[in-house]
Amino acid sequence: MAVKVARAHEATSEPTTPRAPKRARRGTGLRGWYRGGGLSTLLLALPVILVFGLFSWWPIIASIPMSIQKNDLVQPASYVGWANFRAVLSDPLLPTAIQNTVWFTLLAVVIGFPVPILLATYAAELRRGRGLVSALAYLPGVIPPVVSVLLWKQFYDPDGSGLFNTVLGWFSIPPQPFLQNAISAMPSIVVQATWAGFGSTTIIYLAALMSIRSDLYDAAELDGGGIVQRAWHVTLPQIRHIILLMLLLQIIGTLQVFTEPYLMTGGGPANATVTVLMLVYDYAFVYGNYGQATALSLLLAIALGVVSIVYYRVTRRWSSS
Amino acid sequence: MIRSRSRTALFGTATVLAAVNLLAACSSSGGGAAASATYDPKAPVTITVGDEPPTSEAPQRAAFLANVKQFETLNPNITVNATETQWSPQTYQAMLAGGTMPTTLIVPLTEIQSLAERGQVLDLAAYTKNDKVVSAINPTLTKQTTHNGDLYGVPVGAFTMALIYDRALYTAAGLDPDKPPTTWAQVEQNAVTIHQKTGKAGFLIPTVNNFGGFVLTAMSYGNGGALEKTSGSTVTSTIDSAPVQAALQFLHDVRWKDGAFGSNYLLDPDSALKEVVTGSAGQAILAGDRYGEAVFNDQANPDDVGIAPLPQSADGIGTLAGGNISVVSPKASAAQAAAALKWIDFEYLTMYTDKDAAVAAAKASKASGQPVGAPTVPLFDAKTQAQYLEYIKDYIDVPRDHFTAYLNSVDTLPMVLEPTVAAQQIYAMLDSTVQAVLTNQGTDISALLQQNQSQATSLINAAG
Repeated sequence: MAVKVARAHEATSEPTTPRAPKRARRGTGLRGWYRGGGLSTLLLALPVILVFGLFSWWPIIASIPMSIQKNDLVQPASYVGWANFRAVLSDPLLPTAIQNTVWFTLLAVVIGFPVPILLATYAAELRRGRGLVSALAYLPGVIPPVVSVLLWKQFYDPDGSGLFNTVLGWFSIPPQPFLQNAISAMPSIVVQATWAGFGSTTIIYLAALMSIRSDLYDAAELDGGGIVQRAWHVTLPQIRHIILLMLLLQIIGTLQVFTEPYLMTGGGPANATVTVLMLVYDYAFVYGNYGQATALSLLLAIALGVVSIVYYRVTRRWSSS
Repeated sequence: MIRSRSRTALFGTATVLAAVNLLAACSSSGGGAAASATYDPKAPVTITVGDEPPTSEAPQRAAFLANVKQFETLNPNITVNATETQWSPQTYQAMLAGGTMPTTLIVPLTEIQSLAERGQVLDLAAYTKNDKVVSAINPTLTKQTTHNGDLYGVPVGAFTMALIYDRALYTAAGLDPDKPPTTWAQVEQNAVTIHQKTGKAGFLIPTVNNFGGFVLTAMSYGNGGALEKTSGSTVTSTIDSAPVQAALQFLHDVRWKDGAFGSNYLLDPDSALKEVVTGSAGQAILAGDRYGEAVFNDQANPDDVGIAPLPQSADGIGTLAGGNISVVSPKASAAQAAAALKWIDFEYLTMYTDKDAAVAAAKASKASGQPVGAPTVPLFDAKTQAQYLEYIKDYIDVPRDHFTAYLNSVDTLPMVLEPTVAAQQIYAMLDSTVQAVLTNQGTDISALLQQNQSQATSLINAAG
């Protein structure tokens, strides 16, 4: 009887396919997880999860109720509905701050974005000294941000004693205002920020470039392509997914700029370098209004989310390889 | 590629906010003392006091700790724990919410109104009612620390805005350093002379971190008007007025007409002081109590530091007063608050009334290289001040005859208080006005002031 059933079952079952050799069975469920090394993985990851949860996710979640409270961290908090959002959106300085922040991001993309790509492309072509170029490129990034900003503030000193004005003086060029002028202040800040940040990105691009198959270059050379054509037709397309990712990270990062304008100019001259995050800082630490500070932070986070979504949609075509 | 360190800053800020919120929710309320002062004066009580001098100021620290010991001997039921904690805008509220604020701390005068408004300092009315020493403090100073009729802080140091000038540059430019200018026209004239004869900047002011607005306020007082008018309980903004316009026009002229402002328009007050006392600039409007800082921190030549009263136009109404205020944590119990006030009296006020305390403080200052007898605004009346100077006369190492005009003005030039509502926000707004005037020659001052006045009105209404 059993044989017949088995055969009948065989007749209606799927056609047999050659089976892959069986691996040692781990079993399913908790035991399987444990035997597969799940516990040690969890223990290894636990500190990171805890730190990330406590210092990144928990503050973000905690700031949501705070944004609808009148909260100065001392008096009991009271719920005020949308008042904080209304107050923040009607701040006369907000349009200026948004404009300045977007301007900073635009300048950072135009001035700062090509530098690491060009440098990495150059370094990739080197037969010797690639390590030295990488190390030198990374050196500015080793300096703590505040130190780097204060150093450049010294460089930008407006009278003849600043480094840049001294050098300009050698070529009989009069001292430039740099940070002292509403028009040149933001570009000056962007140059410093580029200098501080291009090293790590250069190394990332360099790693990506090293992984490009050399036969592509050989083929291009055979087809008569010069250096520029090889860069345009081989290098850039091959690393375009990295480029697009770094561009998004840069946009998100620069839309949150705070340290550089705060230390270099304090938002001046005449609000020419006030950014959105500086407004958040003022609400929280100067006026003690944590409700408004978190409200503006949330609005900024939502705006960044929208930017990211739009970005991915627009670049989806280009990044698929 | 710009490194996104600002994201770290944002997370760091959010971390502090959330952690503090968490702690505030978890911690007990700490027994706030409220208005009633019922407590047992003999019961043991422990207080924490801040502003202990750091180890880098060893003699001051030793003197502070010796005072702690002496205080504990005189008051056997009080235990004092000293900490180096100082007031700072970024940490004060977090400290308070987290329960780590010392029982008593020194805060700047310019903050006391907003702290009192937000309930972040204790109402001291009940504890100071019968305090003879506190009652003897100059009423103009205690008025500034009074909010809605109650005292919220004890003034322990005061200054007025003044004209700081470099005596050496004056001499080099052919000006008499013992005859500082008394009107704005004279200031401008001297600035031009200094710039022409020595090539250095003739006049500057700090312009960032709300100090641009603070100094502009002082200059407006010197030109005959204030930023706010109070009638009854209504406060109106008077920024769009002749005195403020005159102050801004003065800055505009010195910068663009005379070219004597120098080239740095984003100065913080420390840098501004350094410029003047080290001979890079001739004159500045700064706090009048920074002699010690000039000599000790900036290594200025003591003979070159000049301090004169704030110049006045014919309609000048006086000068802006500032200072240090000792406050008590709103979370202190009644017994702690009373003990804290005893400490404040003992540590900060008796040195002006008691000879031994005065001499001990002078000795400690001398031992740590800090000047003794620098010009300040006296906390008490002229008689007490004269007596105090007599106590320490053997230790004074400051050329007080260089500051005669300033020291005389302390009694004669009216001390006008800061704007009572939304002062810090108004200063921040005026920072950018001052910077605009200094960096853009075509700035329309009238239009800008109209805009500022309507913004200030919104700020005042929002605060009310």
